[in-house]
Amino acid sequence: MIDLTEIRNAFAEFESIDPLGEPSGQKFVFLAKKAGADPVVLKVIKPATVGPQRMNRELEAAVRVQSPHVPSGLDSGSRLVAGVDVAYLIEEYVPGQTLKDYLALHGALSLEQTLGFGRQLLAAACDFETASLVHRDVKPANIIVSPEGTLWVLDFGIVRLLDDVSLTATSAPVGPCTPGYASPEQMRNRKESIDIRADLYSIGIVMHEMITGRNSYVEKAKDMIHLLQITQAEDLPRLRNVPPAVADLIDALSARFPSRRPATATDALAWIDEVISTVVGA
Amino acid sequence: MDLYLQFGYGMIGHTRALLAEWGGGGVVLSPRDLDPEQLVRVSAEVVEGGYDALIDPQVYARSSDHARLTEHPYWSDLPTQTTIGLSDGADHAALFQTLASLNVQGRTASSIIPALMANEVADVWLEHLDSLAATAAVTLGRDSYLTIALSSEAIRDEVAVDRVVDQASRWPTRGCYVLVEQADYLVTDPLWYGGLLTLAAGLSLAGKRVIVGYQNHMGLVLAATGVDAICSGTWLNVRSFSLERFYQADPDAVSRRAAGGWYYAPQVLAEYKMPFLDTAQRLGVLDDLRTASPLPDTYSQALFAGPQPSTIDWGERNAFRHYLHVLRSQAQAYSAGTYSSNLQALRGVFQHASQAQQALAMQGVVGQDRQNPDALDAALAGLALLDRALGARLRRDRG
Repeated sequence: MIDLTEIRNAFAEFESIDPLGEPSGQKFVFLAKKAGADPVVLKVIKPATVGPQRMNRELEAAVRVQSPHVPSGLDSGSRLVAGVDVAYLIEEYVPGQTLKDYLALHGALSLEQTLGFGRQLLAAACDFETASLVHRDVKPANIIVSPEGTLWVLDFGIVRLLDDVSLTATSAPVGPCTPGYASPEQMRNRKESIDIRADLYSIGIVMHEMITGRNSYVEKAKDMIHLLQITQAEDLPRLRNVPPAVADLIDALSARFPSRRPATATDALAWIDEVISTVVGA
Repeated sequence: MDLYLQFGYGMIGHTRALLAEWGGGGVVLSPRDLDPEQLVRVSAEVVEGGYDALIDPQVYARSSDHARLTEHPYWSDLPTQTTIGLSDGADHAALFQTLASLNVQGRTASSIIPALMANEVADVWLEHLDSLAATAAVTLGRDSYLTIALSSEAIRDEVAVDRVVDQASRWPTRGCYVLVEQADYLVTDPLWYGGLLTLAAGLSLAGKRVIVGYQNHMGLVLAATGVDAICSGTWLNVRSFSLERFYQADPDAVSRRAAGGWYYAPQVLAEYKMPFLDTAQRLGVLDDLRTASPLPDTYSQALFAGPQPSTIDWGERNAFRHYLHVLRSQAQAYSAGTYSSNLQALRGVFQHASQAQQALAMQGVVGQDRQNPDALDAALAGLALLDRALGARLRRDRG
């Protein structure tokens, strides 16, 4: 754990600093406030782990991605906390609730809302594509639904910068990921195959969950090993209660192999626009 | 989807007759079956006739020892005797220059790039293809077809197929010449069909021009994938792909010659020897085997004109020409619509054929080893696998 008092001492420019969510590994997230200014998110990472490098990648991603669906990075650096040098990142705070909580509260979403949310996520993926990076951890817990209905994608903690050296050991049998949402190639650590299509896969899984109210893989898995097996060997159940065009789009996005998905985020965005225009706009 | 004539033993006469009748189409020429002078002459003749000609260098196995194949000049330009030798980049230049010269002499519009067959899709094999495609784009031109030859095991592996399709999008060359090994003439493995269809459709969706070689009538399932052509020929060893054909021990023509020839019944997707056509006539079900409109009965009319089929002067020549003529019509008809309509039509054709084969067999009319409802059922399963894998994208692209 990290001592909150020490954090407050190290970041004395803020009037208040309070924990925001549960710690994730060696990363701690706080809501920080200054008088007369909007609150911000302060992320602090403990040293002596792979963390600082990942934090640098996260910062680099925050700088690169220019997106209405990604909080802006405001500052970063390192400071002494209780005599130890820690890395930190300050970024825009987005009010709202996670999509995970939203789904828990509302259950399955309507077709129209699913397509609207899906479109926002694919627009974000286009921005990732432009920035030449792969988020690699798109999941309901990393998506904020603002009170206005805008979706924000958070946490670039395991981002892959496509033009930079990978931080994951090539020999690692499993790459960094959240099982149940991560693409099979990401789980198998097939680094040469990981590109924006890995994020398209996760968005497909999330859209499937919006429609059904559950993650079918997670629900079916007996344990973590089983979850890893079925996500690689079995297609997600095809949706039966939606127009075929919607089922097709989600099938393609969540296809187990990258060559079966849309080749680019731009193409996927064009596809969902076609679906919205025929299914919702008609 | 067009039908190209896959050259094998004794194909020159059939080629002249069929291409003239079709007024279109093309051929894939076989150095294994033509000597160097014939290869150039036939190629040039086909091109001069206004048809497409491709020369397949047939370097699927570096250890091939078929005498006619290895006497071609390009064979001596192949690099070292190891199976990986073809990927030794420095040695490509001489080989590709010879192939370029051969294609110029044969007046072909595009070339086939040789590549070794993969028993499994390993990194080294993919690098081999990358290297060949890069060199060929410069020496043979971007319109060349890169050979993708896979074993019957490799094609069953979804990861392998995905890797090939993914890699293909990076090749500078525009075409792919796909060959997939068959364990049997009529394959009964659903995963084999699923792999073949997913590979072919994936390459097509990646923007490649795709020709699938060494097919028989079961290859009609490829009409759902958007490939440009399948290839078929006369003898069994050009209607299914096996490396055995490229070794000296393989005979020129498969010896299973049926007395009086055989007949391909297109609605039933099976081949019958004359005694079984006679049987069908006596049982009053011969019409069930007739080639019915809109498919052309140009060659087969006489078999159904009244006399006992085995008394008709039919023979292998007509058997081959009827087979290829009708197969081309089927290939074109089953690929003429949208993806969805083609898929529906193919399902109907294969389901009908499966039921009809069984019904005829119950009555004593059998195609022996040239009919197999299990193969038809496996092909139907393959179509289901294709639809699940790429149906969404194919519907979006092709309706």
